Amino acid sequence: MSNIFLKEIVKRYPGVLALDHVSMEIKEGEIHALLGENGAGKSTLMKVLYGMTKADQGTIEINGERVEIKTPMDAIDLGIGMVHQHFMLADAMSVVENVIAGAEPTYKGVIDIHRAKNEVSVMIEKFGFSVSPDALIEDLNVGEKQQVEILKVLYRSANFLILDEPTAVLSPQEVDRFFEVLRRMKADGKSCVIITHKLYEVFQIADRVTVMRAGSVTGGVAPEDMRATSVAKLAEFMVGKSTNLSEGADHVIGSQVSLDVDNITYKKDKRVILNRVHFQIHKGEILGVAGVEGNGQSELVQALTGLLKPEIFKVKLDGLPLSGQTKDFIRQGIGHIPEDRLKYAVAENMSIAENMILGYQDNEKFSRKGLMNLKNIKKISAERIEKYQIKAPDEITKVSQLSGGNQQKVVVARVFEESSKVLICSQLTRGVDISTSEYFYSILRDFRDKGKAILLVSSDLQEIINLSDTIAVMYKGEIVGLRKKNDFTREELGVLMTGGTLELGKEDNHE
Amino acid sequence: MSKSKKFVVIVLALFISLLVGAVIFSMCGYSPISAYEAIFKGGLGNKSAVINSLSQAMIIAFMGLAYIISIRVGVCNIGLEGQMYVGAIVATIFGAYIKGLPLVIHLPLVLAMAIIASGLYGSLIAFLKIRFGANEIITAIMLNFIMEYFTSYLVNGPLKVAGTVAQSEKVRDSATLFYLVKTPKLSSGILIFAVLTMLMFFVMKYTKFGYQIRVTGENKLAAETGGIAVGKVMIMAVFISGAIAGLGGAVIVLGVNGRFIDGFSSGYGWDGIAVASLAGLSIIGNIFSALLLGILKAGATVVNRTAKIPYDFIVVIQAIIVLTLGCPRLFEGIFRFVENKIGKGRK
Repeated sequence: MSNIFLKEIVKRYPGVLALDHVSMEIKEGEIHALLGENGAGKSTLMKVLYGMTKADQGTIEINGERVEIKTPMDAIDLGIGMVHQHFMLADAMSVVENVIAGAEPTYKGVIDIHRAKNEVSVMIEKFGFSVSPDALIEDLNVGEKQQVEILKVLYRSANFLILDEPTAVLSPQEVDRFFEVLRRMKADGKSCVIITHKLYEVFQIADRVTVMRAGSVTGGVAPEDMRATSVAKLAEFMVGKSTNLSEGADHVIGSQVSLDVDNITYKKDKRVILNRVHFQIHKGEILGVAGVEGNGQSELVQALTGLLKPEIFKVKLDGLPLSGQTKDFIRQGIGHIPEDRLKYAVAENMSIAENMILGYQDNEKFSRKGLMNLKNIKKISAERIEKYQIKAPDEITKVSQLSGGNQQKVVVARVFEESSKVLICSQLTRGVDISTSEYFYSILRDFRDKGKAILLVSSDLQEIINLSDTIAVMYKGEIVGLRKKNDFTREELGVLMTGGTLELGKEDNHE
Repeated sequence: MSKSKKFVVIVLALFISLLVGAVIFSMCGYSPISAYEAIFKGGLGNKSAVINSLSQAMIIAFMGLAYIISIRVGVCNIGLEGQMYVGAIVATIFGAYIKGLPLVIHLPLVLAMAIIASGLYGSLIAFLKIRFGANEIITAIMLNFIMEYFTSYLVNGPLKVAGTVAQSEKVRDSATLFYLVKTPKLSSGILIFAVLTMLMFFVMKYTKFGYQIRVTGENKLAAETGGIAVGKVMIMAVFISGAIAGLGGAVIVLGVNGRFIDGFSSGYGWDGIAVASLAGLSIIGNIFSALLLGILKAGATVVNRTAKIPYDFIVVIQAIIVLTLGCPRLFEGIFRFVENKIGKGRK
C-alpha cells in the first residue's frame, strides 16, 4: 500500500490565496482526476507535491509518514513524477536518449545505451506505447512526444504520476490511446493524478475525482459513487452554479460573402504547409476550423492576418483584394485574437491601457500626429474594463498581474470594440475558465449576429461544434472536409482530423 | 518587481559594491573608511571638485541614456564605445578642418554630422541583426574595435599634429561649445544632455513612436501582430541610441578636450551600461546614477594623484555594481530571507 496524503496545504501569493487549506488523498492504483477551472489552484497544488512550489502551511504524508519535498529531486526520490503541459525534450536526440537523460545507466563510467534501450523497449511494450525507441523527437507528433514525457517519468521508477492537462494537445484517437496507457499503468499498481478541466474525460477514465474552485476543494467523488454522478453535478462543483455547456440558438446567416479565400498556398523549406486552402465565410457566419494542432491552422491564421507571406494568397474581403502588411490588414477590418496571448497578443509588462490599444495605435481615437491621446486611452480603457468585467484595480495595472482569463478579456475587448468586419479567432478559450469561456461565447455570438464573419480555430472540438455554423477540417495543410455543422457527425470529424477519408459515407449518400 | 522593490535592489547593489570595495581596500592595506572619505572629498570637497565630477557625470550620462533607449526597443547596444568614437572623430574632422563658417552654422553642422554618422553606425547593429540574424553583442564588440583602432590610426597618421602626443588639431572656435564655468571647465554639453533627456522622456511617454519602441522591446511578436513595423522601429531606435552616444563623443571633443586625443575614452561606453543598470533603465534615474559614478570617478582621480590609491578601485566597484545588479536571484534570495526573518519575528 502506498498512499499520498496532502494535508491542509496553504499557499499564498501576494494578494491571492492560491490554496486555502486544501487536503487531498491519492490512493494506490487509482486514476484520480483533479478537476477545476483555470486558476482554481490545481496546478499549484500539484507543484507543491512535486517540490516546485513551497507551501506556506500544511504537510505531505506518504503511507502515514510525514515527508519533506523541497525540490523535484526529492519528489522523484519518493517515486513521484510529473508530466508537464509543455514538453521538455531535446529534438535532435532519440527517444531513448531523451528518456534516460539525467538518469543514464552507466557501465564503467560510459553510458550503457544497450541496457537503456532494452529497458525502454520493455516499458514501451508493457504500457502499450506506440513510439519507437530509436525515433528522433523531431519526427514525432504531439501525442508521441507526450509518450516520451511519460516514459521519462516511468523510467525514474515513479509510482505516482502527475499529468498536467494531458489531453489538451491530443486528437480524439490519441486520447483513446493515452487512456489505454493510463489503464495499463493503473493495472501495474501506479497511481495517476490527471489535472483537467474537461468534464467528459473525467467520466471516461477517472476512478476518483477531486474538484477545486478558487483555491479550495469544493467537492469530490469516491469510486463507488462515480456511476451515480452527473456531468452537471461536477460542473456545479467547478463553477458553483449550473452552466449551460452548449447553446444552439437559431440565427440567420447572411447571403453576402464577407471573407472569400480562393487560394492560400504556403511552402516552408520546400514542405507544403498550406495547400490550396479555400473557403468562404458569409456575413453572420462562424466557420470553425477543426484539426489536430500543427496541421497548418497557425499558418492559416498568420496568413490571414498578414503576418506571413504565402506564395499564393488570393483572398478578398467584401469583394476587395486583401493585401499589404499586418497594419493594412487591421485597417481593412481583420480582427485577430492570436492563439497564444502571452506570445502574440499582449506585452505583459505593460499596462492594460497600453495593451488595450495595441493594433489600433494608429486609430485617431488613440493617436494623432504622432502623439498619443493618453486621456482618451485612459478613458476608453476604463470603460472597457468595466464593460468586459476585467478584474483589475485600474487601467494602469500591468497585464502580467491579471489571471489568464482577464488577460484574454483585454485582447477580446480591444478586438471586438474596434468593430472589425472579420474576426480571426484562435484558441479563444485556452487557459480560460468555464464561466469566462461562456462569456466569450456569448460575445462571439453577438458579434456574429451583427453580421460579422468569424473564423474560429480551436483545438477544443467541442467548442468548434458548439459555436460553428460551418466546419472545415484541416489535415496536413489541406481542407479535407467542409460542410454545414449538422452534416458532420462527431466520429466523421475525428476520422477526417486524423487523416482518414469519408469515401464510404459519400457513397451511402449517393444511393 | 514593484518600483519600490526595484529601488531597494539598486540601493542594496550599491551598498554591496561599496562593501566589497571596502574589503578590497583593506586587503590591499588601505583603510576603507579613509579611502572612501578621500574619494568623496575628491569628488565633492570644493567647487572645482564638484565641477570635475559634473563633467565626468555628463559624459557617462550621455552613454547611459543611449543604452537605455536601445534596451527599451529590445536591442542590447553595447556598441556605445564605437558609436562614441564615430561621433568624436566626425566632430573633429568637421570641427577642425572646415574654416570660415560662423558659429551659428558651424557648430550645428558639426553636431548634425556627428549625430548622423554615429546614428548610422549604431543602426548598423540593428540592421545586421534583423537582416542577417547576426548576434548584436558580437557585431557591436567588433564594430567597437574597428572604430577604436581606426580613429587611433587617424590621429597617429593623417590627422596627427606635430608633437609626441597622438592627437588631432584643435577644433576651431566656431565649433567649440561654450563653457558654463571657465575654471575648471564645465562644458555647455551638459545643456545638450538636459535637453536630450527631456526629449527622450517625452518621446517614450507621449508619442506613438515611443509606444511602438516600448511594445517592440517588451514583446516583438505581439508588436508585429499589432501591425507595428518591428524592424523599422528597431533600426530607428538604435539609430537614436547610437546618435546619443555619438553626441557624447562630440561633446568630449568640442567641449572638454578640444580635440581628438588617442584613447581619450576610459571606457565611457561601458560606464554607460553601468549607470543605466544602476538607474534601473529609467531615463530620469540615469541622471542620478551618472552623478554618483561621476563623483566616484572624479574623486578617484584626485585620490590617485594625492594618496596614491590606484584609480582601478573605482573600476572594480563599478564592475561589482553591474555584477550584483545582474543577479536578480541574489536579491530574490535576500528578500525571501528578510521576509522569513520578519515573519518569524512576528510569531
